[in-house]
Amino acid sequence: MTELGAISEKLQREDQLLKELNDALLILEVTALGRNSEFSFSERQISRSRQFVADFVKRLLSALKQGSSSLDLQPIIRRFRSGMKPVHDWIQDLEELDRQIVRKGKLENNTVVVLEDILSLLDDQFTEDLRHLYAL
Amino acid sequence: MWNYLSSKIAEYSSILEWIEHEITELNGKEHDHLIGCLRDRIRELRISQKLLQTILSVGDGGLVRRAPPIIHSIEFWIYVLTQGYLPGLKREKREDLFLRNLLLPTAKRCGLSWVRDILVRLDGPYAISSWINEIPILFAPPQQTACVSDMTAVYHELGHSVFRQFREIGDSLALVVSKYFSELKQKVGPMTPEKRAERNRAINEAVDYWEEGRLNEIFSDVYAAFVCGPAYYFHCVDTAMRWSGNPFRISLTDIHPPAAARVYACYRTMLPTYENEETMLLVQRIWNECVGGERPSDFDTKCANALIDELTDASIRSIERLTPATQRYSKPSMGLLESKEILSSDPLEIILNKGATVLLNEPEYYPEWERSVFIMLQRRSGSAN
Repeated sequence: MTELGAISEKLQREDQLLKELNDALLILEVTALGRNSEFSFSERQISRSRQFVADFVKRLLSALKQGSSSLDLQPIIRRFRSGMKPVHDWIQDLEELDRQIVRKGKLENNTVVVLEDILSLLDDQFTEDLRHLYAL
Repeated sequence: MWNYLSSKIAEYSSILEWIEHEITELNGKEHDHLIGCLRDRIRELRISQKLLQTILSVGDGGLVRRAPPIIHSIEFWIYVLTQGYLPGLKREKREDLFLRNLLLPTAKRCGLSWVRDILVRLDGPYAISSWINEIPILFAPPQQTACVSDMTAVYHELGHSVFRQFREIGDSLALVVSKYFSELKQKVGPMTPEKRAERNRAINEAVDYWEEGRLNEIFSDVYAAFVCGPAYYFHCVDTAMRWSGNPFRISLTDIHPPAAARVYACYRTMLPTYENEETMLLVQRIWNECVGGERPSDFDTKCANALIDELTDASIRSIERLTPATQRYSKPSMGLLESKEILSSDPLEIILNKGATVLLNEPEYYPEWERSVFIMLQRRSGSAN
């Protein structure tokens, strides 16, 4: 396979995770702001988004603690390891996020920031690979 | 940001309209299903565009942060449509259709039940882009309509489609890597703290080396050897000798593992019945005579035989479990006489194995053999004349 094939597959995997997480966060934020009448997200979409975020946080925590992860999480784990913020701090933030989801079923502003940071890292990786694809 | 968002929404409106118009203009009688998939994709892109429109009209400073990832995703899919599928459909010629008609039944026989169509583009080196996995784009060199010798590469590309279809394959191989190196870390005798730190750093580098792309490559080699047998082993050795220089050299910028590791994985995939088979022994001898060069120290850490053994075994288990219809190549070895004769019922894998035997044992006869193969294949694909 040439680089085109490899980068295509990587981008597709990244696109899916980025889209799922971004959509879930949008839906939860729209709901928290009480603006759903403009977006018309269904109850099913809202509950699926909560579930997606909860599962994502659990998977990421487990990957960080056990040192192995499914392939879709590997780019984000690498970014954690090479970033300024210590991995231990990411674990603490994700544990707090996990507790909030379990306890309250909704997210508070300070924890939404953690998800936005993760989303931003995923988006950076995706656009880096997209530029790579354009350059081929 | 608001002005920018507004401009992107307008821009996407006209791009999506243009793509839709181009799709309508295509004569897609050979590709009805693909045309339907492209139209579905346009519909999804319009939903994303509408989402941007709603974010714009709500005008909340927090929600606008969700817009850039939506824009990036739309850009990616516009690339896929305008640089991948549309030009493939527009430039499609009789030769592309010939290969497509040959490969569709091959894909089915090799267990790729999800593949509904293949868009062949004879305008580049071998590659597969499975953006729509049920309809991958297969790139192949243009001479492939007259030469079969490199066609074994098709099976490697089909392996990528299998890897893409079953995400658990990549996850299971990543787990093999992680367990292997974690155990390696434990197996350590008395050592100074500095030496231990250095060793652990080398092991961590090796874990990172086996990223998704390289796992995908080694899996696809195993898959191709699994379905195409000795002919793919020969192809792998041939590729290594043509392109790779020192086959043990590890390049961090190359998505492929070093050639020596790939050849070893292919060899390990062969059924034991081939161990003493004539063509296999000949290929092995060629490889052993020509393989050389300095063996860099990181090769034995990153690509140790024990690790490649485990990756090969895990790949074979995945193929057998996830695509049980995949037929493993197991035809008893064919002598030169039998290989020279092509039967109209021979599947492509057998033709390619016969071709390898003829090419290695009676190269002067090979061009004639190849011509007769193409006459038969063209009849079979219904594209003759």
